[in-house]
Amino acid sequence: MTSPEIEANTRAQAELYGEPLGIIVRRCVQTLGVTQARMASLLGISAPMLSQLVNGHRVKIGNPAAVARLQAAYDIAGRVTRGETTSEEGLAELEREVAGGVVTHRSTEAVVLRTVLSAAGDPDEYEAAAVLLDADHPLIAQVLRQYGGHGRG
Amino acid sequence: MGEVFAGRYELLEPIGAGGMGTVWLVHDRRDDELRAAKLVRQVDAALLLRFIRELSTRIEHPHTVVPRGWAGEDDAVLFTMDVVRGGSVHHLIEDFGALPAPWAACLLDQLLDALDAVHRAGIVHRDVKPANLLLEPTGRARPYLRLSDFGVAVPMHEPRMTAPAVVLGTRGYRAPETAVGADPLPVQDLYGAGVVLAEMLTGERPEDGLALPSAPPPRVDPRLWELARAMADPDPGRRPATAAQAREMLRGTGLVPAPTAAPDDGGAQVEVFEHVHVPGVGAARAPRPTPELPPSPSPAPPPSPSPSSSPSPAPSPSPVPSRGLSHPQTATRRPSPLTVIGLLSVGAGGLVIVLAILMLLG
Repeated sequence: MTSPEIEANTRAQAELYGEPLGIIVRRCVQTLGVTQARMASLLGISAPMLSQLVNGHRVKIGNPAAVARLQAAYDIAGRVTRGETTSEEGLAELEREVAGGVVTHRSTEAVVLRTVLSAAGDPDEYEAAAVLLDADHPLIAQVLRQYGGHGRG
Repeated sequence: MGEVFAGRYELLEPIGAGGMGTVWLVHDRRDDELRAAKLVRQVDAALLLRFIRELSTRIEHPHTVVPRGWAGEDDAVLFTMDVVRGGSVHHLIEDFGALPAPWAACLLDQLLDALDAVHRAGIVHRDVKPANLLLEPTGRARPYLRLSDFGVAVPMHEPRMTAPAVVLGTRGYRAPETAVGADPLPVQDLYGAGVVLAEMLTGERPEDGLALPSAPPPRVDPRLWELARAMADPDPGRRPATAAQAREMLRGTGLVPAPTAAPDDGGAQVEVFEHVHVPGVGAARAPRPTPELPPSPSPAPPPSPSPSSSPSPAPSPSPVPSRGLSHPQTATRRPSPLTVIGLLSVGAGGLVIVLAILMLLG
């Protein structure tokens, strides 16, 4: 990519985001004391993508959620600069905001529930119990069928 | 110099986190090759070891990445795989948000191609999600997907030693019936693939366990949304029955780009970046160029699944034919004796527990 193209991209970024992304990101990285790779992960974009944006090889952040997180990071960095908070507290705050995003983990609660129920009765008993409860407590009946019954809930 | 594992693999840098362990870029000192390697605690290694021993040779497909070799040291086991350097569909969605319909169609087509081969080999993957769909660094050209992380894959139609102690897979991509102890079936992978499609189309993971809304979200192609709805139907009986059938429905949308053609991104400038920068290893070393990517092959006839599943402590080396994409790998089969004993005892312990449960129930 030629330098006039990069200059044009950087100008376009300034129009979109107020300043070139290289400047915005550098300010966040320095103020919060993190690496650029860590900043990418906080923003929820890949390190090569952030590098392309910072170097002006690409104009726009494609993912709107990442734009919102960069805005949050920039606001926090501003408060750190003005002495309203420390960089450690600011980083912790940013991490909390980001934590609302994608979280994947293995779930075992359904299994635990089934194990507990299977110790107290067999599937036919749970089906019978569910029938008794159907009229007055349909949701409880459904739980018993799903986790204690034959697994067709 | 990085730490050297089992006297052979130099750990260069972490390149990702998969289920159960970290994935490293390693330098194989024996043949001076770079590989991806997943480091797994020994207690978690049993399924993967079994996969290598019995299943991985059944899957010979250019859109998969299966572990080929392993080495053990102390309480860890290292599994080697091809290096795939373009990140994953998870990164692509993070970087670009909702993907253009032809990109989503192109990626799903390759995923279904891979799943078709996996299922024909009698195996259920059980953890289809964006982070397990790796990409070759193809830039703005046609993307090239490889289904990875067979860490919890199992053969169909056999008694399960682990059932129902654990529910495997990842919340949000796991078919609802698996939470209540359903046997592993291909339609569960199609559920995961349907959720992935919806996520590619919207940029966001759909709500867990619910049917997708009937009206397509704004700016989402209605034909692809209809397919995502069918594949991610909470009722397994209403999903497409096979990956091949889902692929047929996908082809029916007319959105899958012609073979070798790059999908139209409508100006979104979607690009698969190089994520793994290969550092110099020993003497100055040029990064391995991205290999020529063969177009998706037409479905192959089903290989006859081998019914043998008798466990053997030391796997016999299985020659792996080169497949264009990957350099042939000589699998490592030299665990320390202690590791083998440890793994055997873990397996034996599991058997004892299962027998105890069976006796209690019986």
